[in-house]
This record gives sequence, C-alpha cells and structure tokens, in this order.
Amino acid sequence: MICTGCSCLCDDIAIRDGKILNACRKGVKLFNVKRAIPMVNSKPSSFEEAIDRAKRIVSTANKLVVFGLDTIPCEAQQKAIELAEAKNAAIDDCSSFCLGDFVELILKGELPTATLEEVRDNAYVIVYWGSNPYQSLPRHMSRFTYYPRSGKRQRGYEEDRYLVVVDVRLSETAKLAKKGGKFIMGNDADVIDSFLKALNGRAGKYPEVAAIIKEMQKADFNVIFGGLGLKYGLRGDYSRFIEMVEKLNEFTRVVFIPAGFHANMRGFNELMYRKTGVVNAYDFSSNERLTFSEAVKKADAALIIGSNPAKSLPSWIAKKLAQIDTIIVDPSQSLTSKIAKVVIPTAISGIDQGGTMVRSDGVSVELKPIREGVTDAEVLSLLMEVV
Amino acid sequence: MSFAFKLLTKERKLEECKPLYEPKYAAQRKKLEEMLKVVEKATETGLIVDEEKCVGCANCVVSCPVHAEKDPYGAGMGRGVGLPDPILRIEDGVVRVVNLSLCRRYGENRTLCVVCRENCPNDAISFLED
Amino acid sequence: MLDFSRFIRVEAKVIVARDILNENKGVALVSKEFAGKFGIKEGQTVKLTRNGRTVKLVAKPSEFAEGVDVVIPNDFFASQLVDFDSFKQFTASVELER
Repeated sequence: MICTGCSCLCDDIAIRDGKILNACRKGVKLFNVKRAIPMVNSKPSSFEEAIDRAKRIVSTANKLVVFGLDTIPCEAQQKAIELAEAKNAAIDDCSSFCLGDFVELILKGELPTATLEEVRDNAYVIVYWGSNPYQSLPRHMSRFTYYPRSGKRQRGYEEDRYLVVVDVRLSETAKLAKKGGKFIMGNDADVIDSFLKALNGRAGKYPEVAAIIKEMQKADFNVIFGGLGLKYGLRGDYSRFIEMVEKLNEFTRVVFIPAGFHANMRGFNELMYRKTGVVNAYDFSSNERLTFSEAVKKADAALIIGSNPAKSLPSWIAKKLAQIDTIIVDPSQSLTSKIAKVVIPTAISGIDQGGTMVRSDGVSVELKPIREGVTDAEVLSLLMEVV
Repeated sequence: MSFAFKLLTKERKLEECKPLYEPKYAAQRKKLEEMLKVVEKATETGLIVDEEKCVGCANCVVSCPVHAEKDPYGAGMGRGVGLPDPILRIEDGVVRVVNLSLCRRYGENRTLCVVCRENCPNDAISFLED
Repeated sequence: MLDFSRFIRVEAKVIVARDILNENKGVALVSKEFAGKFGIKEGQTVKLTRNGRTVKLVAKPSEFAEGVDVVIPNDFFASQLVDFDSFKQFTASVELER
C-alpha cells in the first residue's frame, strides 16, 4: 500500500495481523480517521441530497472559490481545475502559504533538482534548511537521506553522509546533526550571506560554513532540502539563495528539493503550472494571481476539497467560511465539516481511493488502495454537471 | 550488589530474598517493587521504548547494524524491514521490539552496541544499564 | 525575584513548528533560558497574546525551544494567533496565569 500521509508517499506499507506495518505516526492517522457522513445545514442527510444541495450552491454562486486539493489524486485535481475554469472561479491550495514558491522555482529551472532515489544513492552532504523532518516527514531521513546504505553510499551515516541543519532553533533533527555533521542556529539571510562570503574566501557571521563547503567538495553530489523555515525566513525574496546554490554548483554538484508537504501538493502545482504558467493562487475570471485568503473575502461560496482550513488557517477564515455557502468534500469529520453548509464524504486516498500522486521530488506514484469508496473525481464530475 | 544486578537482568526474583518479606521491611519492599515495575516492561537486553516520544521515524530500524547486515536491500536501504522476525519494526506508527535474540547486546558474545539509541532524535530508546 | 514574575508581561519570540506529539494538547514549549529568566515551571499555564487575541497554553520547558523563546505546534491554538504574513514566526506577549 502507499501511504498518503505526506509527500514521502512511502510505498512499503502493509497490514498484517491487524497491525499497520512501516507507516509512521502521521501515516497511521489516516487509518484512524473519523469518517464524515453526508450533511446539509448541519443535519444528517442522504448522499444524493447533499450532492443536490451542493450542485445548487455551485450553479448559483457568483464568486466561487475552490480550495484544498492537496490530499486528492491528480485525476481529481484535474477535475477541480476544470470546474474552477468553467465557473470563472478562483482556485488555490495550501502551497501558497506552504512551499509552492520552491516548486515554482524548480519547475522554472531556477534551482537544480534531482529525485529522492538519486539522493539516497549518491548524496554526501545533506542539508535540512528550515525543515525538521522528524516531525513533518518522519521517515524522510531513514528512507532517503541520512540512514540508507545504497548506491555509492554503502557506509551509510557513519562515513558516507554528512548531516547539516540550518534552523532558528534546536530541533530534533538539529540534535542529530550536532552529532554527525553540523548545526547552524541562525537567521537564514545571515547564513546565506556567510556561504556566499565563504565561497569568495571571506568570513561572514557563521564562519563554520566553510567546513560545510569543504565537505561538499569532497563529493560529487550534495542536496539541500528547503522547508517552511527557509520560505518564511526569506520573506519571498529568494534571489540570494538562488545565487548561493548557483555559486556552490561552480565548485561541486548541489541540488535542491523542497523538504515536503501534503501528499499531492506537487501534483496540483504541476497541473496548474502546465495549464496557467503558475503553480497556485489563480483566478479564472480575471486570469490573475489570487490567493485563497484574498479570494475568500469576496466569495459567496466555497468548495473545500480534502482539507481542513477552519482548523489550520488563521481563525478569521473559519468565521468567513461559516458565513458563506461552504461545501466540504472530504473523508473526515473536522472543524470545517462542522461549519459547512454541505458535507460530502469521500474516500481516503491510498486506502479506498486510487489514482496518481506526485512526490515532493516530482516522481509520480500510482496509489494501491485496498478498498473502493466514493472518489473525489466522481463527486467533482457530478458537480460539473451544473456548470 | 550481585543480587541487585541479577534482579535487573531478571535472573533472580524479588521473592527469593526471604528477609525482605518481614513486616519491618514493608516500606522498603514496596519501594523496590515500584522500581522493578520498569524492569517488567524492559526486555532481556534492557531495551525500553518510550512510545510517547516515538514518531515512527524508523531511524533505529534502518541504522541497526544487524538489520543492515541481514536485510541489505530492505531495512539497510531505508525500506520497511523485510525480515520475518526483525529486532525492531514500526507497528501502528511507533517502534516495537519483535525479536531481541538477534540484537548484538544479547547472548554470549554481547557487545555494548548503542546505535539505535544514539540515532533516536527524541531519546525514545533507552537501555537499562543507564 | 521569582515572585515578581507573576506580574510581569514580557514580549517573547514565538515560532510555530510541526509537533505531532504535542499538537492539539494546548502545550507551549518554552526554552530553558526563557523559563529560568521568568520563573516559568513545567505545567504552569501561560497566556500568549497577539493582536488582541489570547490563548492559554501549558508551559513545558524544553531543549527544542533553544534559540527562540516559545515554540507552539501548528494546530488549532496557533490558528488563533497567526496571520498569513506571520504564519510561522511572531512576537507575542507572555503572561503567567495567576
């Protein structure tokens, strides 16, 4: 089975004797989801009634916003984009406040990249920059980076890997880096500046980066994983970071991969990029960029698919979604399903819903569900009938 | 001291110390029983997993030298361990001990291997000797 | 000195970070330095206030807050305090609940 708990998309999950094997704590949550039931105006209803009401909302909406989309397969994401286009609606996913920027830089070719298998087989210096995989992507280090003995890195973490963590605080991963590599606790701009200075033979605020560069030069393949800490630390200006990666590549090969996010966030980014030239936050009525937070302010209806914005976004979003006609299409009972006008339960990707998903490094994965439920693509096709 | 040590390795039981069960030592006996509760949970080589601290990262499973030797294309490469009875395995999101007889800390030629404990970022694994 | 800490309201550097072990439990990790300076002990309730919104969290001194003052998980409680432009890092005033 393939786990859709995060963008690692681990493909070695098995169920034996009633136990879930190999899935981390995040992945196991998918198996214990409290399933949603069809609801209209907070009262249980039949599936058909919920669909009917949702169709009515979609067909009469003047300013519809479509949001979520990161936990559903590409086939369903494609349908959602078609629906948004047909309705001249705004569409956005979590990547506009997550790592959409990094995926866009990679798709545009501004940062060199590689696959996670290439990292596993070749990478020596592994940098987690503004990312703490222990909490966000638990198996990332053991499956792909620091611990596997594979390819040219047969001696594993003992001799063939060098772990670097750059963060503003001591994270669990930073604690490991202190033992088997380097931990730089500092502000992102200062660390980037130190790297650039060191590459020119000068010392910046963190002279220890010179040792990291030296280690990088020992090998022919190194990787930087960029996380949310880096994104928010740089406040939208990646020019110096790109310059740093370019300069490093004059001395040795350094690739960049976004650390990780929701299971199929990159799938949505790639579909949107192919269609519109941007990875997210798009308004089909004006053909301009428009984030969910901006779009929801003017929206009269919201179609939330595979997400729980009432819980994970600033609280004013929950208040607004409760005021307008919100439809939620999602497998679980959540804060958003409590405030939505219509609740349409669908399958959990990877368990009772199949399809394609794209891993954090751009590799496509075909899900292997064990059951069949109502798919998000089916529900979206039904809603498309009124558009 | 030897009896105390053997209590920890479960070679001897508290009941074997007859004087301890006299009424005047009731308080001390109670305290000892409390302390030994931890040992009940531990395994022969004294490996204790604090499940509340474990997120199932599998660093321990993959870094284990025995797994790397016996399952080089499975756990050794970062995949789910392919041995039918590995030392450690991630079950239901946390690491569980399955078969300690393979562990290097056990048996006649035991070594002081600490690889799993050293690579747990949250100190979820500990050994009794600490 | 420690007694006065109950009346002090201080500005603290707070970051929001994924914490799957502590999320949705109303926990705030506090750096040992910050806890020591203001006499915050494990289990005490602290009030974090930002832009007129307040959450009450249980303080837990932790090595994983070293480098900042407070680390809160990205859960429902964090959603009460953040805005899109301060999604992961902000300053909040911290007060001990009396």
